This record gives sequence, C-alpha cells and structure tokens, in this order.
Amino acid sequence: MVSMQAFYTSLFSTTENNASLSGLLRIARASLKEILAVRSELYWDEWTTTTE
Amino acid sequence: MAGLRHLKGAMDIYAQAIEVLLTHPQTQAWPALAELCHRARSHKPIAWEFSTTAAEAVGGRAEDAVPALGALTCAHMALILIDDLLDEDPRGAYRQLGSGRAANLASALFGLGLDILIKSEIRERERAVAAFGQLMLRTAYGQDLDVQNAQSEEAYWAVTRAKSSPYFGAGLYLGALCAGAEIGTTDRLKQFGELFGEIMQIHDDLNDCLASPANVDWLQGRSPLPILFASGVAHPQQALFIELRNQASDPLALAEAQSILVSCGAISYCARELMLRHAQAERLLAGIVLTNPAPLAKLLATLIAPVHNLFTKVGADIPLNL
Repeated sequence: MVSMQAFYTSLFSTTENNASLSGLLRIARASLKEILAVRSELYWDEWTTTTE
Repeated sequence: MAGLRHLKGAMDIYAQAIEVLLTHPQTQAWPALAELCHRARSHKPIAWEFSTTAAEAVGGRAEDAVPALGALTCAHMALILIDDLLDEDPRGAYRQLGSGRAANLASALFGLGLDILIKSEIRERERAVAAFGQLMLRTAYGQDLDVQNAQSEEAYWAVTRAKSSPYFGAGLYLGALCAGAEIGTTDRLKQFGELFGEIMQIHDDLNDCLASPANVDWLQGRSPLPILFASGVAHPQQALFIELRNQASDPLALAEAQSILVSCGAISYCARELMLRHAQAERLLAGIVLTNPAPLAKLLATLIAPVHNLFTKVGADIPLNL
C-alpha cells in the first residue's frame, strides 16, 4: 500500500502525471454526485435513518 | 423482465428468511424482539442479496441461502443497535428502548442468528456457526477501535478491515456454504466480499465528508479517509484545513474545508483506493470457479462504474501506478 504522503508527493511532483493531475484537480463536488449515489443506494445507516 | 423476475424471487426469499425469524419460539415469546424482526420485513439490511447471489453463483438455488439471509439480518440489526449506542445517534432505537434493553436485544439477535444456523440443514453447519461468530467478534473489535478515533493511516485501515469488511465477507461465505460450495470457493468469496466492504467504507467516507451541513464525522472530530488525508499529509493548505475542520458547523468553513479536500488530492486518493480494490476484486473473482459469476461481477461494477465515469469526464487517467 502506498502511503498517503507518497501518493501526494507523486501526484504533485511527477511531470508525467501532469495530465492526470489537472483532470483530478478538476474533480468538483458536483462531479462526485454519481459516486455519492452509489453509497446512497447501499446506505449502511438505512435501518437507523428510517426509524419510525 | 428476467431481471425483475429474479429480483422478485429474491425478495420472496427474503420474506421467507424473515418468517424463519418470526416463527422462532423465542421471538414469539418476546414482543420487543418480534417487533424488530417485523420491522426487518420493510427495512432490508445492506447487501441483503449477497447470500442469495453467492448461492446461485456456486450453482445452488437462491432459496438455499434462507438460513444465511436470516442470520445476516439478525447480525445487521444487532450491529446497528450497537452502532447507534456507540455513536450516540439520536435516531437510534436505544432512545425509545433505553441503552440497557437495546444492548440486550443486540445480544438476543446475535443468539437468534446463531440458533437459525445451528438448526438449519446446512451440510457445513459448524463452519457456518464459526463464520457467524467471527463476523460478530471482528466487527465488535472494529467498533471498539473506531470509537477510540485513532488518527493514523494504519489505524484507519485496521478499523476498516475489522469493522466494515466482515459483514460483506460473511454474506457471500454463508450464502455459498448454504448451497454446498467447496471450502476453497467459500473462502475466496469471503475475500471478495471483504474487499467489497473496504470499497463500501471508502464510498461511505466520501459521502460523510462531502455532506452538507456537516455530518457527525466533522462535528465529532472523526477522521474518515479524506479528512485523514487532508489533516495528515504535508501540503500548503494543511494548517488552514485543520483550522477549518474545527469550525465545520459554520457552513462557509465547511465549504472551504471541502474544497481543500479536492485541491489537496484527498478525493483523488480515495478514488485511487477505490480503483485499486476494484482491480484486486476483479482478479480475485476471475480466479474463482463459479457456475454463474455474472451477478457478483455486476455487484462490483455497480460500485465502481461511477468512479470510471468521473475519471472519463474530467479527462484523467486512473493513476494506479502512483
């Protein structure tokens, strides 16, 4: 497993990652909607949140 | 239409599993336990279809998995009762029942799940009972680690593996065991389920961090993966993030902190961790001899397709080699 710090260093220092980096940093909350929807479908707390 | 028929069939099997719980002599003698089991009829546990999917994947019938489904429903209810107590969740059943009764009902549900498996006709009953015990034991350990709120990367993954993975692993393991699968196959399905659990935890953390207004993770100083990254990694906005994190009840501070989660690479790190586990799970699944692997592959694809879409949208490669 690559540590968080190593990931950060690679992400921000390697020129060959520049294309990926610019794309990754354009990730906005709005763009994450689809990913967030996955968890909403499989919501661990569903049982609690629907307490009547 | 075939998909709808399959879902309806699986739902009927879920109803059968709940009937097993409701007709158990102890449930019939205990109104509070019966009420919880009644409630489970309309509140299915997360990943409730795992055990039926596993049974079919190994060449069995979905209905073979009824004992697994009943036991896992008990486990889910018990874990939620305990989770709400530990989190002091204001929506938890303990608010109506009282903490002591809620804890006692959680213990009862664990016993009920065990009894369902013991009285089942599963060929490998001892293994099923042992797996159920491991599920509860490992998750309890994970819950205890979690409430201690350790702030290191190693501790995060230890909690995830102990708290989030066993439930998903047990779902597939027990379902396959009920259908008479070979032990090697059940073990690998368990590993697949545990990876699935890790993926779910990362999804969970992304949601919690990006929720607005600030959810309990922000307000109670917890460290889901993106917050752990932004707080622990040395980056130009680290100090600012830590300051904002402590003011997360202020919507403006929260929005700025969430923006830093994006710009410092924390969200990218989570996306990469999702992709890595997806690739690992795909390799694992490809190595298991299954009569019908398609539903399991579909379960996995459902989790990861939006991540692929996101990377495509932003025109980025998936940086698995970092």
